[in-house]
Amino acid sequence: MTTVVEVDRVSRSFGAQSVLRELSFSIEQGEIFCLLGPNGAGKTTTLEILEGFLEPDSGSVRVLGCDPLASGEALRRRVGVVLQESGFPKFFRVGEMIETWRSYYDHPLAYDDILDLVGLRSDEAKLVRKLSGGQRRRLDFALAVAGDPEVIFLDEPTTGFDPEARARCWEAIVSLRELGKTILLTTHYLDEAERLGDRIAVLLDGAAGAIGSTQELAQLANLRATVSFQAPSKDAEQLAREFPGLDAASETVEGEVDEVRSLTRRLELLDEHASQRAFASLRVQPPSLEQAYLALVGRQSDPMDSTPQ
Amino acid sequence: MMSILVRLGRQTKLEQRAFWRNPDYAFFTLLLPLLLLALLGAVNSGDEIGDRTDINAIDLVVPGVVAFAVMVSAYANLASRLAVLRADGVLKRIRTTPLDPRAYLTAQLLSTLVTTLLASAATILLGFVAFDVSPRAEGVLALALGLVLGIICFAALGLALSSAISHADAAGPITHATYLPLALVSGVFDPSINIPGWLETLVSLFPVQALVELLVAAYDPTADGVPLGASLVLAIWGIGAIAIAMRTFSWVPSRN
Repeated sequence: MTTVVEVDRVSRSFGAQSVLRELSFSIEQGEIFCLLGPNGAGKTTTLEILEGFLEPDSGSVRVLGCDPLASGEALRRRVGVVLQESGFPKFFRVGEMIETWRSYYDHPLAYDDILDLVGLRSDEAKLVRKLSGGQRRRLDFALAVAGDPEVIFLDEPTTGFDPEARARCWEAIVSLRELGKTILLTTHYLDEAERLGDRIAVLLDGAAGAIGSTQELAQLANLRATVSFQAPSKDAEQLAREFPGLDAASETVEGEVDEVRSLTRRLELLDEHASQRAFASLRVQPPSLEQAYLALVGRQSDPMDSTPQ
Repeated sequence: MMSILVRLGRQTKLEQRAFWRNPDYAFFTLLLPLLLLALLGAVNSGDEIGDRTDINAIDLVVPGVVAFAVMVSAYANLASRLAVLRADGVLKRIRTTPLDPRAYLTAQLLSTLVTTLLASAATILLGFVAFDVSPRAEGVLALALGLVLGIICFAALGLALSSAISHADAAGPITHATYLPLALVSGVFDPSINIPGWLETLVSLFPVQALVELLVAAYDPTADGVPLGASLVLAIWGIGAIAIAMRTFSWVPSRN
């Protein structure tokens, strides 16, 4: 795998306010990487440093092997950006905006493909100032992909979307990954990060508090999968003794386990009838990103919460 | 080289399209000077200037309004348009593309040049058609120099000022407040205005009066060639403004 984005011990302050503190992470080619964190956690500042709008106070960043501040146009040809907030020339039409943006690149995506990707086919003749919030965001997206970029930075791309528009945007992002694009996405929608992110970085206090898949974050947060199944009483009691966290009540076993795989291996060792019954009734609920996120954020804020009054 | 020129031409065309589609900018740039000339002409057309018998006031009002057209179009409109584009995040969006920032700003300046020349030409034409006032044949050089130096100087000032405007709401008030008082005391609207000596000395240091002086030289039969002092004032202000704009121009809205 090729590392496409590298953030190495980046710190950045605004006046007395320290926003990023030695933040480090890297993103591999073809990956959707989500930056998650509460408001003010430094998500947009991180993106603005990667986009070359801000200079880090210390540390370094590389995008496609280049320094975003020094590389200029050469790098911008290969990167698409959806900014958190940015306007359009109000008296242009959607189609004109897309054509104009395509003209800035050497090998842009086909005009029709862009319209289809973002679902603005029926709005191409509309003036930009007459678009709804969701349509404007889709146009943001269209302009970001117009140059057929290798890397796409999306800063809260679905903020303000209705559920249908969000679903369409998610489809578009997944389509881009299928085309081999590398995507860095900031969001504070946990379901969005869980659905799209191959890996997720939870920004806490200006640093990457945790990085990994939902499952890995759950492990870091010491969360366990919730399981339940049916087994004969004697087996149920035996299993509850073997796996801390499981409770047996009559023939029902339920609780939280660290290693679902060990449990299933153990269930296979039951006699055939009991094993079939256990597997047929087995329900495994892995920890959600929301649980992991709240546990991680809560853990970080605990010391403050527990400060003696 | 060719591709740079093609890019510049294409971007200038886009800026022109964006400009003329905005009714506010179109009105203030083209129609306001014409309305002003029509009104001032109706009021001043037969008035004399002091004891001069060779010209009427309207002969000097026309170049004054041409100077006004240059200031509105090249300075006020460019400064407020860039400030609004910055505040709206349009400049930041442009900066995410591989478009060379110098090409973008040059296209803005070229578009301003086209627009200002159109506004100036329309004002000169109205002066001729409605009031039978036209530049002298000997004054064409002063007119051309006044327009070129004036547009470059005021566009550079507009570019420099735009970065000092932190909010879109403040764009109009700030730009108008920085040139209208000078225009009033520099005789843009009233060529027979009398101001105290100290104020006249002060005003002569600013580019507004220098521009008026150059354009008046194109119309006033007593003018002798091209006023070099006024040309120098415009050139110095223009160079200074370009230097300031290069240091201070910002693509992103203020964080404050």
